[in-house]
Amino acid sequence: MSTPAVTASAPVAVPSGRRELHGAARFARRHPVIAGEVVLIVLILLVSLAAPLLGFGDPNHGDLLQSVAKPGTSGHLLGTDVQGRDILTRVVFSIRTSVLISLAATVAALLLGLGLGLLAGTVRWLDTPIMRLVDIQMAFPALVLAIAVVAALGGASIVNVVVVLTVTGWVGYARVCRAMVLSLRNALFVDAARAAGATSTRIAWRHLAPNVLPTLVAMAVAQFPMLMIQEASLSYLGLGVPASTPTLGVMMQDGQQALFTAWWPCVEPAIVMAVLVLILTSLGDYASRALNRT
Amino acid sequence: MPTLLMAVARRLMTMIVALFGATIIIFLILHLTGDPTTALLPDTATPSQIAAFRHANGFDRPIFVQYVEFLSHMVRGDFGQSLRYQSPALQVVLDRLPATAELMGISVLLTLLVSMPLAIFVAVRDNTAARALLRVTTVLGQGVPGFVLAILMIFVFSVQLHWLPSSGNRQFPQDLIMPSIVLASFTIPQVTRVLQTSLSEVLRSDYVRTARAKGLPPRSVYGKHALRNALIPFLTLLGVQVGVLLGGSVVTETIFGWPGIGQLMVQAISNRDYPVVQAGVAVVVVAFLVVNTLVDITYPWLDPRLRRAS
Repeated sequence: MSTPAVTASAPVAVPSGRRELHGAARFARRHPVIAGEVVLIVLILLVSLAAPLLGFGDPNHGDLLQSVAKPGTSGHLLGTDVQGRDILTRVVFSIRTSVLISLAATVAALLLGLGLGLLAGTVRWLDTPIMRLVDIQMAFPALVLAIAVVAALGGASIVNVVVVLTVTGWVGYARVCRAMVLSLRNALFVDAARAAGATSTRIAWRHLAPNVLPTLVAMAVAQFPMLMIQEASLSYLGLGVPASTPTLGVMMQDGQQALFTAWWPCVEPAIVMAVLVLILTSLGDYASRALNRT
Repeated sequence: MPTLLMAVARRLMTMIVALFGATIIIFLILHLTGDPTTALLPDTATPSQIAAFRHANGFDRPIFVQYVEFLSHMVRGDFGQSLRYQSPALQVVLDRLPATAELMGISVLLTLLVSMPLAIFVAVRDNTAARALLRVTTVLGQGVPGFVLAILMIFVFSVQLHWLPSSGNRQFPQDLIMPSIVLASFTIPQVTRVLQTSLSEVLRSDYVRTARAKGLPPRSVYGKHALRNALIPFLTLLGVQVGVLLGGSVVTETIFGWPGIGQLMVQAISNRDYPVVQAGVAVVVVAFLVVNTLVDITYPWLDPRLRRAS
């Protein structure tokens, strides 16, 4: 997270890598909380993505002799669950699955919303049908639509979860994109491009899309943690990824049944989930405030 | 007045179009994979049983014909028999409606009780500390997922302290406390934020300054002049929040074993009880659309400026 504006005040001969470090340090001094959150989230992501390389074993391997070992037991920092599976390993792999699913869905929803928003804003006869589609979708509360789509797709799988999250997530992008396109359509630079002989497709992709994208990306930063929550909710309800793939939602669902005898298999993933989403929400909040300022 | 009627008519048309589109989605719940026979019959069915079932239910006809028939049944409230409860699917869903309505009603009340004072406090004080308080509340509220809050609360209040029941609705009113707090946590952050923003805006407006300059007591300035105008965006938002509550109730009811529509739908999916899933989604969508349409139609009456504009 370096700020390019720093170059003006930096000494002339500083090599570029160092200059960026300088910028990062300055950002960290100004926004210590945000910088701390960025470092923490990058660390968490690196560990969970590199989990197989760091010596974390099979998250589904359980030793029934070690069932519900307390947190702190040697070899099991966070303890084990009812089936004797190491909770730390499962948490690390869960974060990996959740992040990859939510990231894929966020990108897919953004692209779908961008595409349909551009179409609605530039192709006149497509405007009404696309906006009616938006209306129809808005008639469904997100989780209820997710239930309908899961039922329609016939069950749980990773691909289905990404599809569900994409289908429930694209509407916001499409609406904002269309609104921005409608106000940009008569801008001077669009007239200039048209006068220079650019086709509508070229205007949409080369001139309108780059103007809309920063706003949509800021929306995506804010939406990402919400999709993580939805993914976890679906997994918790048994409508997300198959139970053989560990995710935080699946772990909480498993653990809740034994909550009265052993709290850690259920409460630990809940705390991890809360911390993770809190950090991401706070970053999203910062991103949208930063965007509003410019 | 005629323009107002036109606006109402236009709003009703939008609702009907959305409702019509929703029926297609509800139809597709069972038909997206092509043939619902495999979804409805157990895995052990023999090929001849499958063929007989397919023919008996008309699943071998063109999909358009099936949709029209589905629609004509649905308009009359007929979603078919529940495969699990052996009674009409719509009846199964409507039997669960009071429990969901009770939970949602209490949560709306709770949302108002927390959001209004908090928003008014922040808007009236309007200093850094108040705004920080608001940001912490909203980030916490949006950042801690409902079911995580639920699990942590069950752990503290049921497992550790034995104060509250961990599930079910047989111990009024203790049974309502945790589910309604969890459900309200879905709506409190956004409601507070919107109310505070619109209230702050109104407080900066000229007529509030005039009211203050006239020497009106603060109670009259805030209550009569400011709050009444700030409530309009707040009302629209409440309509949207009903959708958030309907979605949130799915999670909340499942966690707390609350026998409402949300829990029913989740169970129906695992039981492959598709008629109940369809009836449940339909009831939720109709309720949501009707509430939002009512909100949209009502607020020109609350705000004369909108009457002239439309």
